[in-house]
Amino acid sequence: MVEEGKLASDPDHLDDLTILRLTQEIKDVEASKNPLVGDFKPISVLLSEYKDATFRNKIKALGGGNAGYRPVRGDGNCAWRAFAFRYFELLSKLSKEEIEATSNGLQARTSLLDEAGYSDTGYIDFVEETFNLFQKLPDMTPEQVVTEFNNAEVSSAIIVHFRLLAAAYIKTHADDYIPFIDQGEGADIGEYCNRNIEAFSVEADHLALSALVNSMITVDLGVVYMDRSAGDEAVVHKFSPVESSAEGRPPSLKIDLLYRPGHYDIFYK
Amino acid sequence: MPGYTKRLGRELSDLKTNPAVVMDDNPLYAGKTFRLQFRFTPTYPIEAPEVQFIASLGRGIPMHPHIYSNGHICLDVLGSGWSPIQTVGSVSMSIQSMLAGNDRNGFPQRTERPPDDARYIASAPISPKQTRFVYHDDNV
Repeated sequence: MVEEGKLASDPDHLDDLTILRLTQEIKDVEASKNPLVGDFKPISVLLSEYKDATFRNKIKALGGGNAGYRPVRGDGNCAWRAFAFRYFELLSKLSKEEIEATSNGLQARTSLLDEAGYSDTGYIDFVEETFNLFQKLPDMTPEQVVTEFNNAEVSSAIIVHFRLLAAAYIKTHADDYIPFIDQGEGADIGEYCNRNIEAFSVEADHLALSALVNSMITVDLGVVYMDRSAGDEAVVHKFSPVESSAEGRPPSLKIDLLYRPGHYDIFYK
Repeated sequence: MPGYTKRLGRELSDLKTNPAVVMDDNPLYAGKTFRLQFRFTPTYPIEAPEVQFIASLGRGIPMHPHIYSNGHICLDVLGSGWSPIQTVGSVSMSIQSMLAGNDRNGFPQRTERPPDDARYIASAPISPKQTRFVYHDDNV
């Protein structure tokens, strides 16, 4: 069946679906004006965006000094792009040996994709893009990582790779995740992964972030929730992998995201 | 070589060695040949391809409650259900399953078009991707 909104053309009588579609189109146009990964901004810039006391107190409590954030385009991939960018930015500051150990560790996780039943024709190009960047990384500055991530083709491919890893982790550890997935009419693990994780431009939920961290093994993730809830300090949700890498090799990375309702940016302490 | 060309090349050689065929004996479609058209943009496979049935000599548009008479297909995987892990092969399988399923659970086979067929084809965009389909009626 065709959605009503597509056929309505009288501007005085727009139905809800049409309004929803037009609103989304405006949002998309607005989002496309921002870089995929923006420049670092000190916390004072964030503070200047808010008048509300709850937000201001929470932002002040985040700390001064070198604390700050890096905006990421709000295109439905922001949590994924923020995570992936920060992952490579942190790695770019490590030694060649540490980068290689991380790359090898992640390469080994490609087996999750096979176990989850994905065809290699479907995933190989995305995985390759990630490891191309790993190859170049020892010679790259953090600024060059920013440039690389503003190349849509590169960062989209890496995002898809990370999305597939997270979805594959859920599919191969279904017993752990089934209790958390809404058992609505006909909903199952495969459909949940397809709609919420594999699909591009669909925002990450709590489960997706948990699965991503578990699939990567070497990352601890903290999400600072900057919302209107009571309190003078923002709640921080921590995600740590169930498995851990042997004896600190590859090294463990600590990624922080700043969540404001509907959007994630990268947070720097 | 741009990413999508490489990917399509790989998909093509996969299809040659391992054609995407769902075994089906649904009498509605048995022995008939249908032609699907896939159109890709340089953003494939991040973006879904545009897929529709094409009528030509001896090849009609399969009769199905989710297939419009202009060949446009109302199928989740071609719209909001698309993800970059899908391939031409997996889409072809989904469409074949959709046809095969037009017989499911002992329901009588449904040889009609979607209920809004006449209204849709009168104003349908050239590309089915410009239509937002609403998915309902999972019995077929």
